[in-house]
Amino acid sequence: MNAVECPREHEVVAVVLSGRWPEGCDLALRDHAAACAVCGDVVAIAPALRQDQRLSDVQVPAAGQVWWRSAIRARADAARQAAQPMVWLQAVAGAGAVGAALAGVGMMWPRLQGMFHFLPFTAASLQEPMLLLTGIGIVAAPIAYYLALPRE
Amino acid sequence: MAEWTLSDVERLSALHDADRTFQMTEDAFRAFYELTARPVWLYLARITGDRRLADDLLQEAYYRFLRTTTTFESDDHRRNYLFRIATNLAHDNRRRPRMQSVPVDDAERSLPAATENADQVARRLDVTRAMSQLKPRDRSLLWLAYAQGASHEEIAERLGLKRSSLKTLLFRARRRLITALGSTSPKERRS
Repeated sequence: MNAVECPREHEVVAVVLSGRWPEGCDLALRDHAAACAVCGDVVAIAPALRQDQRLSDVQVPAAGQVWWRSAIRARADAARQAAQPMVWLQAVAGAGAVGAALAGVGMMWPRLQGMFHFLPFTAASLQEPMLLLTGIGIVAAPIAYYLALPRE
Repeated sequence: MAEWTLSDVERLSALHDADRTFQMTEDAFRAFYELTARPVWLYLARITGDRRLADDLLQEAYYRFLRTTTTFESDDHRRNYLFRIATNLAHDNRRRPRMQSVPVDDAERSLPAATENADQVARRLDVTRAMSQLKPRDRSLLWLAYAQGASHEEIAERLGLKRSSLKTLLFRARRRLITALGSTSPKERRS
């Protein structure tokens, strides 16, 4: 036997939880508990915890109510999950639309540049910023779309 | 009549099957619930110290239990799994900002039973007050071991602890409770 555990601890706990401590249990076990540090601690706290467990006012909801609430929640979760692929499809479509719009602007650029010849830059100087903007748009559009959607 | 989209059809199909994904039938759940709801609620109330929170966590624990895909080998395994969910929920909840709580009432707990004498009532109140000063894991350990009479194997499974470290943890929790009792009990303080 060491200070951390005692082989008779379970026996003492069983006697306490059955309500036979101290009068209803045999003298040898009481003597042991009086001499053993582990079992001494156990009998100092276990009867009060057992009483607390036994006498506490517990009002749990009916089983049917818990089942019903769980079923409603499962349905709500299932509906949310079923809607998720559609959200992603819409996000991909949104990204495609942004990409197509930017590609359209790129194809039209020589003509547009002619219309805006008074501007202080050329098509060649805008090629890199346009590519960069296209890339950012393709990445950011689905993310922005996803963040903008309501969670519930 | 409204037109149906593919999304509507998918949703309806999902709704129809939602509670079929539960891992037991309603009748089996009712029987299981009658056996476990009271001890689980008490456990949650004692480790969180909040009755309203215990109500919410009880519902959440059973929901997660019903949705689990785990295969249970026995009723004990099923019960331990439920307690494990309850333990995790209580721990997760501690990390979140607190809502208004309804504390477990000392006065209600100290109501004497017909079979209790004044010393027993005072001792019970001292122990429950001292328990509230302990860390949640210590409270869990002591409550499972000495209020519910769970074996070391069951406690290890319910709290997700190693069996080898349990004896030491339980020993320390007992000592902390005894020390806390020394600081809360008027009788102990006088001596």
